[in-house]
Amino acid sequence: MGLFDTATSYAHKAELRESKDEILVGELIRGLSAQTWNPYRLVGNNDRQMVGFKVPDDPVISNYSLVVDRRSGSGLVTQKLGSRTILGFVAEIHNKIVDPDDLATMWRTDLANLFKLPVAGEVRVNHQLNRVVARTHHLVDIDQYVSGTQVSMGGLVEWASGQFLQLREHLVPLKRG
Amino acid sequence: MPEPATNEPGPDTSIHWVDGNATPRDPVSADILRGWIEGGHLPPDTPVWWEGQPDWGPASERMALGATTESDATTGAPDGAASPDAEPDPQSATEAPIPSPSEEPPPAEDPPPVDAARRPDPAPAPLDAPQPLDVSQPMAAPAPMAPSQAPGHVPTPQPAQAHGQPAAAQPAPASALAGDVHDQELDDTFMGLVSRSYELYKETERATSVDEAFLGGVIAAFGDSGYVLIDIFTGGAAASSGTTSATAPTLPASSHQLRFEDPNTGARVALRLDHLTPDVGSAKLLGQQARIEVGYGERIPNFGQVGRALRQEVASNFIVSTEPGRVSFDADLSSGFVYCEVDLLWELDRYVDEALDIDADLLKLHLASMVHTLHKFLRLRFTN
Repeated sequence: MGLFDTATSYAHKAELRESKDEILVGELIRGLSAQTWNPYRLVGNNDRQMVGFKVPDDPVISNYSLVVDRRSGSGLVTQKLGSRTILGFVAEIHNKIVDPDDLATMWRTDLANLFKLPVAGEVRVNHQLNRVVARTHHLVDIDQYVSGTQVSMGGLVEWASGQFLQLREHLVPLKRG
Repeated sequence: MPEPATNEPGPDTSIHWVDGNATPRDPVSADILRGWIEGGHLPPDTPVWWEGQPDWGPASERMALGATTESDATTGAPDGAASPDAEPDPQSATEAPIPSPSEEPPPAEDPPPVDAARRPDPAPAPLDAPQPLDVSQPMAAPAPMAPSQAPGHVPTPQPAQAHGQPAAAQPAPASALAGDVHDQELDDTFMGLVSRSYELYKETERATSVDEAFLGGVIAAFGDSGYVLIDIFTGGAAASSGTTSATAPTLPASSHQLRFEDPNTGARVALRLDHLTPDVGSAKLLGQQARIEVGYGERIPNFGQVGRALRQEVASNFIVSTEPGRVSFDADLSSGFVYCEVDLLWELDRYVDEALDIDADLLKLHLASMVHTLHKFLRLRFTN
């Protein structure tokens, strides 16, 4: 089976400019890996990529996830709307035991979250049984980082890890055992 | 007030006692029994005996009890332990707090009919200890059952609170299952099971994540070498991302595809990974294995050369083989690239350790050798 027997059914990027979000993801993976974060989950399609990271020896965090969601697609819509992309940051802890009290907390949190929009840096914490998840989103302009064949992440990796650490602070009090 | 006690038992002394049905009950600590009596759940004249006592006797004479009126003692007496003149008190059935499971005495199974002639079985006590109890005394006389005293109803002891001690400080109750195992040991054992369960969960998580951890290492390795990631497709991504298009392609769940480009040369590297051992069982048996197909591509301006590569690929497709090491050529018409590619079986465990750390140096070396060789093949074929 040739490599492209199935691959040709995808709209592979003919030009580098069509791959700005993938380039961003790749550079973030590289940068965060250099900080000893281990990517362990990859989900990717044309307009949305998610990367999960494990942080060795972190007693609080189970995993971080980074979501790059271009939403607008890679065709005409992208050209019209520009290169704005949503960066989502998710931090997750696992508590080994949950009891009915935690379930009550979960419902209260879900109710409170109805009126929260985790955009522009607002942090939303959500209980999902054993897991407690904190997430926030930012809108970024990819052109700041990828222009033509030039890739310049600048301080993006540090800024991203700062976002994760901010989420971590929200979860520390909720970690048990 | 009861008479002053003689030979007062210690707070943790195991006290054997007899309920109102003249049934010997499992021993409880003196503190617990005292709490039951002082709380009005057992009559003060409940027959008791403990190690060192020559015979059975009423608790009011053998133990120091607090102020407890006779009427108090009858309101919540368990299993027919109330005094004979006690009236049924329906309210006590509804107001009785839920007993703490860790403190409730085991209910007597099928309590025998109230029989004044029946004597408590001294079997729980040592052979030389208690004398047969004279149940002609009021303390063991049958009592009319209040609603709260029906068989199976258990007393509502609050010994820890009554004595200002936290309940957790009490030893675990004797039960048929736990035996004499202490409360703390049972708690520790339970948490051990939870931790082991979590380890098994993480083992499964790792088994299903090794391929993606490997790909993360591949992305980092190519990124360190000046390549940029331009395509990423992962197994089941279309479904998981909520794509609703009926024409949206999906890779098998254990397959992933990456493509990189060197911005300086325009050369591309495509990589497809099929995880062959995506579950714990197969991974333990075979080790983490994957079939990885790597292609190195360059844009070939001569369309005739591209056509030739395609014909060769068509020809090679007539050969059905699962053997690794087959070098072939292919063209990506959408981008005008011609690729030289080869598939090999890789041991992912060589690159990804238990903590999902990547051996970056080894991975980079192996990827470099692949790209280098494929580059040579491509140049040999299309230079002219």
